[in-house]
Amino acid sequence: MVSFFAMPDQHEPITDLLARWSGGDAAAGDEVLPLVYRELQAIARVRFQQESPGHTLQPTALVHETFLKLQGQGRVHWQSRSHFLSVAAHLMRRILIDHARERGAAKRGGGQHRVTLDDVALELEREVDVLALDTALDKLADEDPRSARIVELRFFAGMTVPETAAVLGVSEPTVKREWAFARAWLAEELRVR
Amino acid sequence: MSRETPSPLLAEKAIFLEALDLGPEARAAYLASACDGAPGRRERIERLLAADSAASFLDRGAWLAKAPAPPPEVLEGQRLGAYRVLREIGRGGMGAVYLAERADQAFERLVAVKVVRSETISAASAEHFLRERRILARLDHPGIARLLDGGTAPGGSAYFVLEYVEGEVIDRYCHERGLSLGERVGLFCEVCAAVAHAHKSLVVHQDIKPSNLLVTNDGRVKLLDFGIARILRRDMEGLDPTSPYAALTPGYASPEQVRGEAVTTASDVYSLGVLLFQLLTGVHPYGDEASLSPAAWLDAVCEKEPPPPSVAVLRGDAADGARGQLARQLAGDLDTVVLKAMAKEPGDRYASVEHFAEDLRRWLGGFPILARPASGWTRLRKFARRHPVASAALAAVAVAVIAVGVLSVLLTRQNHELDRQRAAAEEVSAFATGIFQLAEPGRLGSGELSALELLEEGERRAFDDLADQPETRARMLDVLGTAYLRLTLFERARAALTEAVRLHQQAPKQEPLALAESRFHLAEALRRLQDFAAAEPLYREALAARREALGANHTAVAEVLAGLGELLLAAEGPEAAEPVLEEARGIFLGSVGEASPQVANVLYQQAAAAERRRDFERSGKLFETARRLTEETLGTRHIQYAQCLYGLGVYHFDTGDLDTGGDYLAQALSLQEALFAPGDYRLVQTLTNLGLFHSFRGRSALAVDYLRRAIEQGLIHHRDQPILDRIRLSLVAILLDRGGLEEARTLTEELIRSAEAKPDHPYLDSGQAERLMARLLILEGDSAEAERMARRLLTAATDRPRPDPLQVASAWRLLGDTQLELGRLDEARAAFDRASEANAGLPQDHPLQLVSLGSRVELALAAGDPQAALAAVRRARELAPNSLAGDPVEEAWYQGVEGEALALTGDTVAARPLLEESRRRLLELLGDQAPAVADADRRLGLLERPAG
Repeated sequence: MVSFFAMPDQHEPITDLLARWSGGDAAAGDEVLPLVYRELQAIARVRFQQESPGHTLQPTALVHETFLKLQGQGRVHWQSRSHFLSVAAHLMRRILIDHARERGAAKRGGGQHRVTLDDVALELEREVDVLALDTALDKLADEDPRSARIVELRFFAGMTVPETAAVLGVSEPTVKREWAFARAWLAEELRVR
Repeated sequence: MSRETPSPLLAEKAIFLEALDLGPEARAAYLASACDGAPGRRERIERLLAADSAASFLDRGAWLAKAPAPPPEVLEGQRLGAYRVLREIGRGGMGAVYLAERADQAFERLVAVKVVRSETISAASAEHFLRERRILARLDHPGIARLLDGGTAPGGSAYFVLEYVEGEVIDRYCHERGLSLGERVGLFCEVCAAVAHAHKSLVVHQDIKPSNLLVTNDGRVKLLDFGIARILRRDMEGLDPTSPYAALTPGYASPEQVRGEAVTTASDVYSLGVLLFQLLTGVHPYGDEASLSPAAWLDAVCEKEPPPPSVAVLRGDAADGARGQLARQLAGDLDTVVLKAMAKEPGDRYASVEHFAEDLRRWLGGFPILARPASGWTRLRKFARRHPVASAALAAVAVAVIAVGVLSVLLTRQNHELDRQRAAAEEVSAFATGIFQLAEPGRLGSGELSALELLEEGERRAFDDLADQPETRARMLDVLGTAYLRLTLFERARAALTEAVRLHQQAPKQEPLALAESRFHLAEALRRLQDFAAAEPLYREALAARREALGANHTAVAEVLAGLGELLLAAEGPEAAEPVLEEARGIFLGSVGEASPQVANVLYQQAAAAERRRDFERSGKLFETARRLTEETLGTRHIQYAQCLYGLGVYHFDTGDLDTGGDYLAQALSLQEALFAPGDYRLVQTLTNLGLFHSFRGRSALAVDYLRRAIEQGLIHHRDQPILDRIRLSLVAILLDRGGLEEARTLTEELIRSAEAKPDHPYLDSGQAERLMARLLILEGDSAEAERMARRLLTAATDRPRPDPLQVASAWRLLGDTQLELGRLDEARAAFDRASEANAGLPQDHPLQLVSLGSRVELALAAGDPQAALAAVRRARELAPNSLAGDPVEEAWYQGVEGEALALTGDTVAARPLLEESRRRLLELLGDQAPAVADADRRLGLLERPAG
C-alpha cells in the first residue's frame, strides 16, 4: 500500500539535478540532412549492386560506412555516433519510401543480375503499401516517437535489438516491448486502411 | 498543446503491454476490467494482440531484394575479339577469369581474359573505357602483367585480355618456399619497382593485394590487374567518378579509399604496407578478416592503430621459437618502415613507393633507415585527426597551448603589450572552452571516451611540457577543467581546477582575473559535486575579483552571480538565493537585454526558487516567461526550452493539475530525447517525475517503465549519484505492490550496499533499505527472517543518543507486521502499540498515521474482530479523506478490508460488491502478479463459506 509522489523540493532528487543548462543546440542538423541523404543513397546504389540478390542487404554496414565517410571529410560533426545512427536510420526510411514514390506506376519486374533500389522497393511493395506504411509511421511518431524510432532503427537500418538499445540508451527489454507494440500497431493500422 | 493524458494510442499501448505479460486467463480478466467504459477498446486491443502473434513484413529487413541470381555466362569455346576462350581458371566478386588463346594463331601465346559482369560497365562510357585501356596498354614493365586488349562480350560483359602468367600468389609463395626475411623484403622491392613504374605514368593500381601478385617459377614478380579497378570505378553507373566504392578490397584499401577521399599514389603505398606486413608476419594487421563484420573492419582501417609487426608476429602460426626470433628481427627498423607506410594520414607515409623501397634496401644493406618512429605528439595528432569529436577539442587545446606558450615569451620582451596580450590569452581560453561547449556533453559513448583520452593526454602535456611555465600551465589546466565540467566529469574537473587555482595563487605576478576565472570554474564543479561549503567562498572570491577589475555591472559578474544563486538555492533555500539571482538578472537586463538566453536562464532559476517557497503564482509566471524568452531567443528545439516545459510541468503538479503537468513533462521528454545524448541527468529527472506521476495516477505498469528507464539513463553517467537510489526506492515500492519480487530483490540489495557504502546517504535513512528488504522477505514468505531483521532495525533505531521517533515507529510497526504474519497476534498488538506511542507527536492526518491504522485493521481481522476492524477503517476515512481519495491503491485496499470485515460479521450482501470492486480495481492498478490481488482473491473466498 505504498505510493510515492515526490515533488521537487530541497531534499528531493529533482532539484538536485536541476543544474544549469549549458548552451549548444544539438539539433543543428537541418542543412546537413540532405548531404547525408545523398551520400547514403549513392553508397547504397553501389553497395547493393555488389550484393548477390536473394538475401537481405546489410543496411547497417552501409550506415556505418556513410558515417566514416562523412566524419573523414570533416564536413559534419555529430554529437555522437548514436546521434548519427539515429538520423541515418530515419534517412534510410526516406530513401526507400522516396524511391517507391518516384517509381510510381513504372514498375518493372526483377530479372536483373544485380540488386538495385528498384528491386528493394519492389520487394517491399509486394508485401505492404509502402506509402501507407510511411503515413502510419508518421502517425505513430506523433504520439509515440520512441517506438517509431525503434521501427526505423530495426526495420529500415537493420539494427539488432542490442544495437538499437545502445543507440537509444535504453535496455534491451525496453526495445523489445516497444517493438512489439509498434509492430502490432502498424499491422493493425495497415490492415484497417 | 494537447490536454488529453494519455492519448488513446498511449492508453492502448499501456494496456497492450500489460496484457502481453499475462497468461490467457489473466489476460481476459485484465482486458475486461481495463477496457471497461471505453467502447471498442477491448476489441482493438485483442486485434493488436493477435497481430503480435502473427507474422509481419517487419520481421524481415526493409532491404530484402529478391531478384533472381544471374545465370553464369557460358563463355567456354566462344570467341572474344581475336581470342578464343579455353576454360575458366578463376572466379571473383566482379566476374570470372578464363584462359584463352589467339584465335588466329598468329602468335602462339596464351592469355588470361578477365570478364566483368555486364552491368558493371555502362554503354555510355564505352569510349572512355577505350581511352583508358590505351593508356594502360602502354605500361610496359617486366613486373606488370600487360593489358593486351579489351572489349565487350556478346552478352554485354566487359572483358580485359591480359598477359597470361603462370605462378603462385605471393604470400603462399613466400610461405611454401620458406623464404627468409631478407628474401621476402627483396621480393617485395621488386613489387615496389613495378608499382613505381606505373606511378610514373600516373597510373594508380588501387587494388594491390596478394591475389593480384603472382610469382613465376623463375622467381619474378608479376602484378596483375593494373588500373582495372580505376576503369571500373570510373564506369560505375551514375557514380561520382571520385568515389572509390566500386572496387575496394576489404583488408587492403587505405583509410582515404574507405572514406571516399581522393585516391592517389599514397593509397598504393598504404596497400603495399599492408602487403609487406603480411609477408613479414604471416598475419593481417587487423586480425582475421573473416572474423570482422564489414562495419568493424571499416572502423579498424580508419580508427585502429595497427600493431607493430614484431608484436603481431607473435600471434602467427610459426613455431614458438621461430616466432620469438622473427619478432626480434622485426623489432626496430622493419616495424618503423611498415608502420610508416601504413600511416592513416597519406602525408605521414613515404612520399613515394621509391622512398619506401629505398628504405627497405637500406635495411637490406645494413644501413640506418630514414624513417623515424612516430613521436608521441605525432601519434596524438594522428589520433585526433581520426576522432573528429575529440579533434575539435584537441585543436582548441593545442591552440591554447601554443598561443599561451608564445605569449609567455612575448611577455618577457614586451611589457607594454602586457594587457593586450592578456586579453588575447583570455580569448584563446574562451575559444578553446567554447568548442567543448559546442559538443553538448554528458556522454561517455565511444566518441566521448576518445575526448577523454585526449584530455588526459593534454593534462599529461600540461605537466610534462609546461613544468617551468606555471602560469601557462594554470591556464591550460583551467581549459581542461572546464572541458571536464562540460563533460560532466566533475571529479576530474575538480582535480584539474584545484591545481589551476593553486598555480595561479603561487604565480610570481598575480593575475587576478585568471585566478577568478579558475575559482569560478572550480566552484561550478564543486557545486555539481554538492560540496556547497567549499564552492561558496570560491564563488564569492571570484565575484569580488571580477567586480573590482570589471565593475559591478559586467556580464562576467552576472555569470558568477547566476552560479552562486543556483548554489544558494540548493544549499540554503530560496531566501538566500533570490537577491543574488535578482542582481544577476538586473545586470544581464542592462547588458545583453531581456530577450537573451542568460535572462531566460536566470528567470528559470528564480522560478525554481519561487517553486520552493511554494509561491506557485510567481513560479508559474516566471516559468512561462522563461519559456517565452527561450522560444524567442533560442527557438523551441532547444534544451533550454525543454527545461522550461519541465518547469511548467512541475508548476502544474504543484497547483494540483496533474494531468496538465504530465502533459508538459511528456513534451519535455520528447524534446529531451531528441536533443540530449543518452544519460543526461535532465532525462533522468523527467523520466523519474513521469514515473511518479503515472504511479500516482494508478498506472503502475507505466510508472515501472518510466522509473526503469530513469535508472537505465542514470546509470550511464551518474552511476554513483545517490539520486539513483531515490529512484530505486520508488521503483521497489511499486514493484512490491505489483509483485515483481525478483527485480525488487535485486534493487533492494543494491540499496543496502549503497546505504552501507554511504553512511550519510542523502536519500536513504538509516534502515530504510533494510525495511524494504524485510517487507520483501514477508512477501517472499520468509517472515521469520523478516522478524530477525526487524529486531535488528529496532535495536539500531533505539540504541542511539537521540532516537528518531519516526524511525522507532517504523521499526516497531515492521516488527508487528512480521509477527502478524507469523500468527503471534499478542506480540504484534504490543508492537503496534509501541509504534503508536512513537508516532504520537505526528499530526492526525499524517500518512504514517494512516499506515498505522492499516496495520490495526489487519490485526483486528486476523484476530477475528470485525467490529474493531470496521472501527479502524472508519477512523482512517475520517482522518485522511484526501489521502485516501488521492491514492487509488490505498482506496481499493480499504474497500477490500472493509468488505472482509463485513463478510466476517456475516453481512455478505454488503461485503460482496466491496470485495469484487476492490479486486477489480487492484487487478487493474497493479496487475495479476500483485500480492494485493491474491489477498483480494482470498477475501472473495470468504464469501463462499458460512460466517463464524
